[in-house]
Amino acid sequence: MSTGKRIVLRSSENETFEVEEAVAVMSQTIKRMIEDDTSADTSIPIPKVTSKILAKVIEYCKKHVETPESEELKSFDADFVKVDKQALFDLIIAANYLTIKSLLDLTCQTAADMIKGMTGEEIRKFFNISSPTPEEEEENRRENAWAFD
Amino acid sequence: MSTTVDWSELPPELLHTISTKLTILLDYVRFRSVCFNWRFSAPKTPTHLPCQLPWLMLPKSRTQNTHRRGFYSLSDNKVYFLNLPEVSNRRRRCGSSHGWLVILDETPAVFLLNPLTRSKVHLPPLSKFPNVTGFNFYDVGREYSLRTPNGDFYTCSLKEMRDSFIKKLILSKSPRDESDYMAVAILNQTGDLAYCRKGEDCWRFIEDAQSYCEDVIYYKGLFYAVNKFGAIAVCDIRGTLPKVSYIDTPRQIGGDMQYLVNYSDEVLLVTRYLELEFDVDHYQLDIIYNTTEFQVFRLNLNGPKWEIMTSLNDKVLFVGENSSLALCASDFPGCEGNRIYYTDDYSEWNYDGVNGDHDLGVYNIEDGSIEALPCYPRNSYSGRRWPPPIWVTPNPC
Repeated sequence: MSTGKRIVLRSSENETFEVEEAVAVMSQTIKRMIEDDTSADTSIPIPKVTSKILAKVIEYCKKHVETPESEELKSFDADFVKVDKQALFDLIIAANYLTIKSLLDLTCQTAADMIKGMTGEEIRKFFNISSPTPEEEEENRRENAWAFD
Repeated sequence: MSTTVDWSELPPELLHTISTKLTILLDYVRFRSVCFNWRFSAPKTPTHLPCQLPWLMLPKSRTQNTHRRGFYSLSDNKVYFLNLPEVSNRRRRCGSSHGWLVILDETPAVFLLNPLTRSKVHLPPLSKFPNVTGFNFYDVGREYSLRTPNGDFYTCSLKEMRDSFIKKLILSKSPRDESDYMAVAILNQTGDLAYCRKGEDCWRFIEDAQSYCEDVIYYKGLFYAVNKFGAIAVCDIRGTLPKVSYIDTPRQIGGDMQYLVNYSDEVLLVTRYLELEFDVDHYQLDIIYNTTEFQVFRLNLNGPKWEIMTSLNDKVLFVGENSSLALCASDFPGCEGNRIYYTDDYSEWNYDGVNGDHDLGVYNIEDGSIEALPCYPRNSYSGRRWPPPIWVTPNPC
């Protein structure tokens, strides 16, 4: 339907994805790469993002290009982030690397929502983070004793 | 093929972004306690947090002789303890604004204290009010000399000044760091409003706002003051001299106390109705105050007039000795919309001979019912304790 130019993106696993330019330039990083790249018809390498995650990012960008701000888009976003913690982590990294602000906000908000109401210990368990040293614990307690009583 | 990701190794700027999506102070503090990288990525003093749900600062513990003070959190249904030697027994609070308590003592000093950070900021002392002509520490019992509006002189003791000079003091914003805050004090005896701004060394009267002394709020750069009939004096104290304009609404009849609340983009009038019970027991007359009702009005500038509101929808109001506050209940667990959370709000010198429970609770606008605050259940009378509870917004900055 659209007559926009098509861009080819190459994941870290060397798999290629063809997308419309309008979708690709939702990523400020890709936009800059297109503007800088004087040679035509080469695919754009995205070495830091796997195929699985790149496919998800493309799905996000496509939907956001096609759909105006609406309940439908909100609903899409809510479902989009229903992924496991590992995928969420990868999406945050990818959204940052590709400079897609709305996706970064969405994924970071999701991470924040996950930890709301959790104690420090619960957060560590949830994300498999090792405990702080006794010195660090002591400093936490000292700074905000009321929260750790 | 999948490698386990390490959330502690997220780049600091991304951890920081996540931390800025947390809106509750406790969540933010816990975030910083997870591990070194998380702590490093989020500043000790967050600047993005919206206004928090107030805590109820509880009276001093009767049994323990300690500086620890309890703060009840509605959200967590729990009491948090802060170590506050600065609010010792002989000190009185006459306000709670943007998370700072206003502390008075048996000295002329007036200072602001943030209970969370224990930061202190001094305001000009009591001896620097326009109607205070002198202060002599050695004139025991008559340390302050004051002048009435018609030129007479009288004296006040340290205690009397502490307890009855200032009714309430409110701030335009938190006085942290370099912010240029303004303060307005409501004087009890004469109904005067006095103000000072950051860096000034004395208080000045807002002459044309005298008698608008029921309540004052800061709203859009100006101070709105209300009198007992609901009329408003709008005070602009940003310039060399104060400028006052008036919103003359039809006289509100009835009601014992008035509050103003800044509610989204509107000004609300909250009228509190009290009933007095007289209890004669053991040859002593006790007066017991009890709130029976609240009415809420929104200001319609076409008129102007106050229009009664039958519902606040999702909003909750917090009134009492604190600077009146309106928040959205859905932003905070443990809080129900369409309610007024209120505390005791009488000049403390009325407390001699007053018994019964503290007059505090939760008023439901929809059906006019009153519920006890969870930390003060009904029928568990533990005696009126000093000082009465007050709402304080936990504010890390």
